[in-house]
Amino acid sequence: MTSVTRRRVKIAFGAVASLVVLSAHIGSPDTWFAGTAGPYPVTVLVRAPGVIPGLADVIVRVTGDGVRAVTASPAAYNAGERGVPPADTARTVPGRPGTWTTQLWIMAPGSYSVRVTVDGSLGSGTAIVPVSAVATRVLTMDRRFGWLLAGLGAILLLGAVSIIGAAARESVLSPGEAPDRRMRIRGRVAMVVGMVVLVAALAGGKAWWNAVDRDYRRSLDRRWAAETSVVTAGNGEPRLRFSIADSVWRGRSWRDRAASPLIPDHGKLMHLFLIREADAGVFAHLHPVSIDSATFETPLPALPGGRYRVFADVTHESGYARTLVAEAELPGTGGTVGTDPDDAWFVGEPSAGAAALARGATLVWEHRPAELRAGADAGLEFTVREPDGSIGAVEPYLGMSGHAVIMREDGKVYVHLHPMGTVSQAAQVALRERRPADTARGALGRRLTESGALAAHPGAHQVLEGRAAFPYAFPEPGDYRIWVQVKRASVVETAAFQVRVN
Amino acid sequence: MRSIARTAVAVLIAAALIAIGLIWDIAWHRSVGRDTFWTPPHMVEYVAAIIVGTSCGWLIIRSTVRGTGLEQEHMVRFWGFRGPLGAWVAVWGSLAMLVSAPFDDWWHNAYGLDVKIVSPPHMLLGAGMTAIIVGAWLMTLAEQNRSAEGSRKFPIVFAVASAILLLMLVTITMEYTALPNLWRGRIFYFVSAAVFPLVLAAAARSGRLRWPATATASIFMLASLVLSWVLQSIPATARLAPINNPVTHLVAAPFPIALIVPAAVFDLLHRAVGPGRDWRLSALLGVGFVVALLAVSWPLSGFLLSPAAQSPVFLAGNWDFSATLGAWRFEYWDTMSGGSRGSVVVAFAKVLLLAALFAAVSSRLGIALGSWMRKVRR
Repeated sequence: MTSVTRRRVKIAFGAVASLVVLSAHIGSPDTWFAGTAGPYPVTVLVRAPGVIPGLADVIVRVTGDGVRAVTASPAAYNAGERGVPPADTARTVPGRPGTWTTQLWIMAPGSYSVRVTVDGSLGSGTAIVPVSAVATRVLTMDRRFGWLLAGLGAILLLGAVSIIGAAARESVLSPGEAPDRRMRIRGRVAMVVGMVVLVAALAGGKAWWNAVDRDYRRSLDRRWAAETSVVTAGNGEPRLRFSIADSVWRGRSWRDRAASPLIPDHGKLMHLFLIREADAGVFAHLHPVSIDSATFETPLPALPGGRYRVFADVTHESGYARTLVAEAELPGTGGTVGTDPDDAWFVGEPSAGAAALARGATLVWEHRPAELRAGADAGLEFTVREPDGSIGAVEPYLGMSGHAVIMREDGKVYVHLHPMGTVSQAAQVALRERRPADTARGALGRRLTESGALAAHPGAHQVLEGRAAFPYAFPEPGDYRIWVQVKRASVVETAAFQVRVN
Repeated sequence: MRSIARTAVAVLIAAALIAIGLIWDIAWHRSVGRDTFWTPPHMVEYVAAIIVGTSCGWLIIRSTVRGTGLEQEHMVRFWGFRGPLGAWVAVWGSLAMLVSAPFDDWWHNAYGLDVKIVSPPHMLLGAGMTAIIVGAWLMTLAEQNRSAEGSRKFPIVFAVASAILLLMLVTITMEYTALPNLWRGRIFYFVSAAVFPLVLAAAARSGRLRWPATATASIFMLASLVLSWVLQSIPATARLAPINNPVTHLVAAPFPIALIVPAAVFDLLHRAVGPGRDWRLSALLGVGFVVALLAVSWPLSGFLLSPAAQSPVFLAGNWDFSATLGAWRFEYWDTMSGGSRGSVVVAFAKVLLLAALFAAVSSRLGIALGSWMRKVRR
C-alpha cells in the first residue's frame, strides 16, 4: 500500500514524495523473492515503507490450488523467537486469484527476515525473505497544503488571542453590562501579552520541528563513501583496488563500527560491476578479494579506457544487503588473465529481443511486453536458443541458472537480480541459520563459511535447462540497460538488452 | 438560559470522553502497540470533538442570529458572534484537534509512525484536548456562579469538571508522577508540586462546595480507579515486536496519586487564612502540599510495592508489552543515593524544600486564577 499511501498523500494533501539515494539497491527499494514456501511455489513482493517506523506492503503470489491461508511477519535479524510479533493474516486480492496481501509493521531500520507462511491442502510451509529496511523517503510539503496548514494555524492563533481578549474584557461583567474603557484596555493588554506568548510558543515549535527534520535526515540510509584506484601488480599488470572509505566501516575498532562484518554471497565477498559511464557499452562482473577488511582488489581485464560507474554488492552477517557506489577511471590496458573464472565482461551494443551468444546460439527475451511501465511486472524471462530453435543447456553460474544486472542509463537505478529475486542468497542463509547464541560479531559468518553453506554451489558438471526468469518491476520510468549472464561450456556469456520504461 | 446550561453539560460529557479516550489510548499503546486512525480510543476522541463542535457551534450560531437579549447578556463577543467564554475555548479546542489531524498524518508520512508521543502535531492535539476540558471547566463555572446561593447542583458539576482537568494533568505528567516506584524520588515531588497545586488552589478558591478541592481530588481518584479497573479487564494482545511481556489485557494506569490528602489541607488552609492574605496563603499551601503529599505517598508507595498489594484491585502488574520484567518493578527509582544516611536525608530535605517553593508559586497562580474565576459569569 505504499503506492496507495503515496497516492493518498498526493490526493489528500498534495504532498510530493521524492526518493533519495538508497544503498540496499540503488533507487530500487522494493524486495522481490521467488522461491518456495514448503510445497508451494511463491513470488513475494515487499514494498519498502519509505519511512521507518512504517508499514510495508507484502504481496504474495502462490501457485497451485488448495491454499487456505497466507500469513506474514517481520522478524528483526537478531530478535529471536520472542521478538516476533503475531503473524498477520493476508487477504486475497479481488480479481487476482492466487494473490494475497497484508501489511507489516517495520518499527526499526535494519535487516529483517520476513516469514511468509502458506497453509493449504499440501500442508504448511514457510519462505524466508530477507528485507533490508531503511528510511529512504524525504517528504517535502506541498505548497498548497503548506498554505492550508498555515492559514488554519493563523485562525487558531488569532482565535486564541481573541478568546484571551474576551476573557479579560467581559467575562467577569454582570449579565448585560457593557465593558467600560478600563476593561477594554485590559482586554487589549491581555491580547498583546497572549500574542507574544503564543508567537514565542510557535517559534519554539518551529525550532523543534527543524530539529526533528534534521535528526530524521541524519537517520536516513546514506550511501557509504567508497573509492577506487588502479594499481600495478608485481607482474606489471593493472589491478583495480576498491576501498570502503566510510568512517562507519573504518571505525577504530569493531566496537565503533555500526555494521556487522561481511559474508560471502555465492562464495564471493564482493560482486563488483563496472559499467562505462558514457554509453553503458562496456560491462564487467568481477570478484575482488579482500586485502584487508576495507580494501578489495581484482586483476583488471582489458576493458576500453574511460570513466566507469562502479557498483559493488556486499552482504552483511546481519543479512543486510548493501550496494557500494564509486567511479573509476580505467587506463585502457588490462591483464592477460583474470584470477577468477567467474569474472566476465562484455563490450557491445544492446539488443532489443534476442542477443547473440557463442556458436550461433541466441539469448531470447521471451514474451517481451510490448510496452513496459514503471511498477508493472517487467516480464524478464530469457531462454537460451540453439541455432535450431530448441532450448539450450546452461551450467550453474554462481549457483544460479542466470544473473541479471539492471541499470537506468543515468545510473540512478541499479539492481542485481537472480531468478530468486532481488534478495541476496547469503542473507537468506544467514537469517535462517542464526542462533540465539550468535551475538558476537563474526561468529555466525565464520560458522557458515566453515560449513560451506555460503560457497558458490559447485556443479559445473550439472546441466540446467537454459531458462531464467527474474521477478521484478522497474521502479521508475526511463531508459534501462539489462545485462543477462549465463554459463555455457564453462564460459560465462553476457548479453545486453535495452528497454524504455514509461 | 437553559440552552447554555444544556450545552455546558454536553461539553462536560465531551471533556470526560476526551480524558477517557486519552487514557484508553495510552493503555492501547502499552498493550496492543499498533496505532491506526480507527482504534476505539481514537473513535472516542473524535466523538468528543464532534459533540463540542455541534453543541457549541449550534449554541453560538443560534444565539448570534436569533438569541434573546437575556441569553446574549450571558455571553462574550468574538468576531461579531456571541457565545459563552467556555464555549469559545471548547470550539477552539475542537478546531485545534481538527487541524492537528492532517498535520499529524503528514508527520507520519514524513518522519514515520509515532516513535515519540511528544511531537509538534501531538502538542497541537493535546492543546486542543486540554482546551475542550478547560472550556467545560469555564462553562460549568459560569453556571455555578450564576446559580442561586446555596444551590448544590452546579457546584458539584463544576467539581466534576475540575476533576477531569486534574485527571488530564495527571495523565499528561504520568511519566514523572504515576508509578508508586517514583513516590520516594525527586522528580515526582518537583513535577507534582509544579502542576497540581494550580488546579487544587483554583478549585479551593472558586468552588462553592464546602470542601471544593477535596471533592475535586476525590472525584479524580474515584474516576481514575474505576477507569483503570475497567481497562485492565479488557483482553488485549501485543501486536508489535519485540514483545518482552506477553500481556493478556489492556495495560491500565497505576493506582492514582492520593491527591485527596493535599486537597483537604488546601481546603482547610484556605478557610483558616481567609481573604486578603493571598501571598501568605500561597506560602502555607506550598508547604502544606509537599508535607501532605509526602505523608501519604511515602507509606502508600511502600504498600503498593509490597507483596500484599500485588493484585488487580491495586492495579499491580500493569507493565508494557515491550518491558523486560525484572526486580526493578518492586524498587524505588530516582531516589537520593550515595553518602551517609544523614547526607541522604539532608539532600532529600532540600528536594522537598525546592518542591515546596514550586508548590507555593503554583498555588499563587492557582489563587489568582481562582479569584478571577469566582467572578466569571459569562
